[in-house]
Amino acid sequence: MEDNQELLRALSDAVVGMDEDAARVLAGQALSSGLDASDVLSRGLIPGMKAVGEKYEAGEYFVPELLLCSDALYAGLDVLRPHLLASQLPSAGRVVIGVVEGDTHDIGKNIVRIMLEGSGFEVVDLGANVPHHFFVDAAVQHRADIIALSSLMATAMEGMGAVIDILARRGLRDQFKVMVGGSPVSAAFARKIGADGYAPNATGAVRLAHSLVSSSSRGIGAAPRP
Amino acid sequence: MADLSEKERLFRALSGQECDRPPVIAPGGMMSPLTARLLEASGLDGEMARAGPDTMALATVTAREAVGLENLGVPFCLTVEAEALGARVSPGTRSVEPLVVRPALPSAEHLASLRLPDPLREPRMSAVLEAIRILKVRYPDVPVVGNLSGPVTLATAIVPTSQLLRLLVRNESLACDALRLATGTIIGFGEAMLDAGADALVVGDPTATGEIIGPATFKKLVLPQYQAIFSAFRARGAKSVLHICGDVTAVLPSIRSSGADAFSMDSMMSIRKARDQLGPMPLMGNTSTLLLARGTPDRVAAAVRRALAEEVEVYAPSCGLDRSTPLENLRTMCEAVKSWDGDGQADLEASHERR
Repeated sequence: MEDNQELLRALSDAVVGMDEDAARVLAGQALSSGLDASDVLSRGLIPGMKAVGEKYEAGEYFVPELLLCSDALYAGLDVLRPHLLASQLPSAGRVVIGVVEGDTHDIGKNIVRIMLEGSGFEVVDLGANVPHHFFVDAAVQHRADIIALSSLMATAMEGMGAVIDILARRGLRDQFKVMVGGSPVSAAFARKIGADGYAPNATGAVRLAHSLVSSSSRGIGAAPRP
Repeated sequence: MADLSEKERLFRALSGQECDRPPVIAPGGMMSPLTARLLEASGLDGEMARAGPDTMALATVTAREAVGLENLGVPFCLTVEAEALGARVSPGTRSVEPLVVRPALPSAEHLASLRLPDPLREPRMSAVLEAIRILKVRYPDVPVVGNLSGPVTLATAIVPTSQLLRLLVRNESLACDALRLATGTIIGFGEAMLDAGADALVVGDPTATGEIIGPATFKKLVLPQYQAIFSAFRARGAKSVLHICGDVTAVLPSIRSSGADAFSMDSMMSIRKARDQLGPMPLMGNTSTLLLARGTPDRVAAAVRRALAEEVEVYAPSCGLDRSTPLENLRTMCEAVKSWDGDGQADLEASHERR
């Protein structure tokens, strides 16, 4: 058991250390030492990614490091995948994301996409200057859990309400959670247009996305398994 | 000093010399002054990535004359250098600016296949250069600003953003190859703009925001690009401005040693706090473009006066204008700067704490 603890810790360290190869090898070793794949995931890889999130919030890691850590996470996960039940696979949920029509500023949206992917979401990226009804069509087509709307501009920000209106008109408002962000957006604005949530930054967006889908227990960043 | 021409005023402000008041400009590039109303007024469809020299000149002249800006500037987006290197660009409409939709290369491994574009032969670059020449002839006393992409932003139009970010940590030499190609392109285009008669250069690097890259990587890999760019422009006797979006607090020390004559900042940054870190570097900015788009003229005037009371050297919006910005607010913005009496006490209580 002692050895297993060390193996899981080393796996967690490999994620934090951005070491893809080590994550792959250690995940394999953990499996061959008899550990259950879901334990390797929940006690090795996921604590690693949590520690990565903490380093980001502390200003020790930035986006390049987050990307490389999530590469290591997925390298380990690929080893575990054949041994996990579909229900154990860490899809936190599916997000349709884009910058609302009238705005082409997509750096913030790209960062949120990268971080959502790193924390287990499947993300459909619609790009920038996305017409309002595209969000709804894509959410239906991809059976999304969340529609994530980004804007840095006033015109596009007002278009966020239009997306929610289209959902309501098509009788789909209850099927998707809508989250909004971008520098001019505020929590008060999100409430005003009837969005389900607002996040001021990328890490906040990841937390928000997890909480919006928390009714399902699939999340990689969700509470530890019983 | 009341007789300063607009060109002299901008030059003095960017040199840190005393002026009667700050100039009020919207440089162009990523800080484009074009709004839907202005494009409509000049009969333009907004496909500015397809615009010829006369169309570009018409657009900037219309913006200046309709609201009272004290500069002219081309182009109106950050896609010229990107397209010259092979990126795919959507041309823009009246409601949005042109945008890079696909980088030039699928992977940095193919970097060796790209050559530095020749600004005199490359169609979009030469159209911008011709627009500068046209403007210089017609408006000899108005500063004509040449607008350029920054090296990080351009590098993410050469290779995919997520790949460049990984390389910055994983493979510095390949990341540097991409950055150096961007830097070489920017220097070549900027020098050609100066040859065409540009009075100042503004380098807009939104993707370089310190929130994404982090101060250590920024200092090690990005700062040398800025130093190369701005020392090349300085060697030509040109004044240049660096603009980076977002919260740049963590990278202010690098910005100070970038070699740019002035720094232009986002509205989320405090002029006073930036000044603490940047020392004598003249500052440009920084009223929120959201306020300009949606605020009342009274609130716009108050925000402008706050920036002036903080002794910003060059007054400008903090970013590209929202395309729906009312002309009345832009006129109010320009008027508030031009009528500035230098008395910021009412606008900013703690003004004497600065510097």
